[in-house]
Amino acid sequence: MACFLDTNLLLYSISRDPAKSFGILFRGCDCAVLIHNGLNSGPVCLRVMTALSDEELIARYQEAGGRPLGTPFAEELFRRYYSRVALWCFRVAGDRDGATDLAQDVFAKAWSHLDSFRAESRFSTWLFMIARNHCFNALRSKARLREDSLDAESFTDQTGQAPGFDSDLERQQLLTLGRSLMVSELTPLESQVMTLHFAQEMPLSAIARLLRLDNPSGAKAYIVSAKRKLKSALSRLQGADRP
Amino acid sequence: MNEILRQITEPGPECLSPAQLERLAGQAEGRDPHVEQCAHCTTEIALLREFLAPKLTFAETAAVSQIERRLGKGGPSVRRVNWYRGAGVAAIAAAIAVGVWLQNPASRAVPAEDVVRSVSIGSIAPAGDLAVVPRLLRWDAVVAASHYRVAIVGVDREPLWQGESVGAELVLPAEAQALMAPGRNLWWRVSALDGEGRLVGVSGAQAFRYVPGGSR
Repeated sequence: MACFLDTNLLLYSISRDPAKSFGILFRGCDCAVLIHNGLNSGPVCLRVMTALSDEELIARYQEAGGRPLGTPFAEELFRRYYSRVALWCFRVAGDRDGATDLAQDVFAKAWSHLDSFRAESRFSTWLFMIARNHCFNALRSKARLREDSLDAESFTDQTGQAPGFDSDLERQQLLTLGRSLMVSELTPLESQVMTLHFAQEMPLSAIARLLRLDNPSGAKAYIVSAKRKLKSALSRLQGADRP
Repeated sequence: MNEILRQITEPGPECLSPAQLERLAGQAEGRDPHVEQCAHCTTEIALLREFLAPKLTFAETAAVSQIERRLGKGGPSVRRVNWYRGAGVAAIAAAIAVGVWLQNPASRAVPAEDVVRSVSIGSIAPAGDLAVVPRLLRWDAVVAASHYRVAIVGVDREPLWQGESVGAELVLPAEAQALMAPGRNLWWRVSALDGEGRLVGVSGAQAFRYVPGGSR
């Protein structure tokens, strides 16, 4: 494998004065030299970089004191997840421009918190949580349960009225019952759609993309079906309670 | 009443941590007493699994490729430096690096697992201006791949043709070759998929065009 200086040489600026501090990475062969105030790091054999696990890359990044000298390790780390984060953001946003904005935000956020990564979970899970939270928050702030919310078709009792509660105890009992019915009465996919729509306030279109629903009516069909099942189960239970 | 549904589905104090979720996501059957009763945790595990091992549709493949390119251009820290600005220092440091690299043959060996770990596939050919219409696409094999999906896209990045191959090359049929009108800018990319259709590697978009009578 050879180095192609005209295409694979990347110059990293690692300080405000790039003439004094910079790093050079050869993408093709994973060699790098980091130079700071006339001193160079010696050869950093980035050949091993692609063989390192995500967690080892973070360790190298942190050993190098984070930025600027650890930059190549972080770059390699993030590069591995470009496609996954891009896909996640595309499914959330539904368009390429929106997805690009989201993905750039996700990586910027991950970058700014990389110093504080404590390996309590794998890096991939950590990055997923950042992507998930950022994208869900962005969706929520953009559209607080927009027109595709099913307010008009809410979870009502047999009389068509929302159930009233005489006490906190009744409310807690209903919540406990509802959680139990979510598992016992619904399919896993229905349960996931309900969770994303009601707990995460996600638009139905984004849910359909995230869960790869390919039926014509998308997530709405699952919501309607789930509500019907929940109502039916509730009716059964209420009937059983009556003397 | 949506409020009731929200409370039923939202996370509770007993819901699992990210580390616990990832442990269960890595198992074929994520058995856990809490998860079996929790719609929220079940959903989180499903989303995490899809994030880690996504199954792309063809339309998504093209979109991801474009977004990836944009991310590569505007990464969080790297910036490509104009040669006229950094040529001097770059040349010196390049000489140092190349010298060290050449003196250490062992360092030039690429571990076999590189390809497995990386999701980036090296596209080999064709690339750039071509004097003849190409009949074959070739790329670096990905060890974990059971098959590959290839797409040729136009300037709008919409797929014009797609094909599949079990090996690291694909003979282009006449209909694909017919797309390569003289001077027409095209790109191709390849995705590696495992036996279950999960993405295990993806190439960048490789530009090429047929230029009769001359190549670059």
